[in-house]
Amino acid sequence: MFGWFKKKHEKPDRPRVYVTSRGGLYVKVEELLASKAGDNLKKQLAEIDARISRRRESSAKSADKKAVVHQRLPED
Amino acid sequence: MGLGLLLMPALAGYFVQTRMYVFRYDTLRESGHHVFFRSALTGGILALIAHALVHAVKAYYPTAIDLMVQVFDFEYSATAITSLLFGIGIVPIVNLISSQEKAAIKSAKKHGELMNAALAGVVGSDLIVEVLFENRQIYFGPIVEIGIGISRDIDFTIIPILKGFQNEDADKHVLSLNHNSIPREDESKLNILKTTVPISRVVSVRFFHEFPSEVLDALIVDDNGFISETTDPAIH
Repeated sequence: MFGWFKKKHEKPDRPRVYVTSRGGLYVKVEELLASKAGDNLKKQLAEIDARISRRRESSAKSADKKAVVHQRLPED
Repeated sequence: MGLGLLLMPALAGYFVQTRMYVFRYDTLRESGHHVFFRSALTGGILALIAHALVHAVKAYYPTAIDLMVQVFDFEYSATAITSLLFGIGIVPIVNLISSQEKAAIKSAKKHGELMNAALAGVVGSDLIVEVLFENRQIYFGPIVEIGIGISRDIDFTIIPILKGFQNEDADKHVLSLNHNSIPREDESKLNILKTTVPISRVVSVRFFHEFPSEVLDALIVDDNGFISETTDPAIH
């Protein structure tokens, strides 16, 4: 009984797949995100975010270096 | 031989063929005369089962069969009516223990619609799908809807987390982050990114559990985190 209760309230592995009368399949995005399958999607989004911020930081650093070089050029 | 014996089991067979998940998607793909013969064959099997049932019931409750014959006064009426009722009754019972989703995918696979079946198999899964289109555009994201069922030319809906272009040498991705900018504060707003495309424009699909490093390495990011879609030199 407790196993059933626990299972009912656990996060599902996959969202419910709805089937239309002609056999079309679809899931609701909210249910997808609420499932364990959605966790992987969120993880991938976070990975992209992290990659973008790293790229921004490195491009900002290289831009700073260029600025320094440009400032020094007239003195040379 | 009464008309009922021919017509009613055939109708029951048609009902079974078009409503029972295990037959439905195969039958709907068939052309007219194939549907007729499939229905007739199923109807014949139902009639045999019904005939056996009528004899079994008659042995124990002859009045029930006599009553049925009195109400429906034609030859073999008990068998015909029983086959119709049996056909209609068995469909929801079998459907309860079988999966409509699996039946639709299995039928597509059986008819050689492998890409349709593969995409349908990942609806709602944790896999990221790479979809390459004829114009070398690439979408990466989960598949949330597909019109699999009875047709080869179907549409599907993807949430393109990333989209970009494949270079002409096809060994390297040039990608741009989706311009709609994914709303991080409320991921349920991913709904606004949903894009429906026809499968006839798709060249290939690949499935990943997580983004491959070569895809993430190919991300082109400007100071704002995005870059315009005009990154493909071949397009402009």
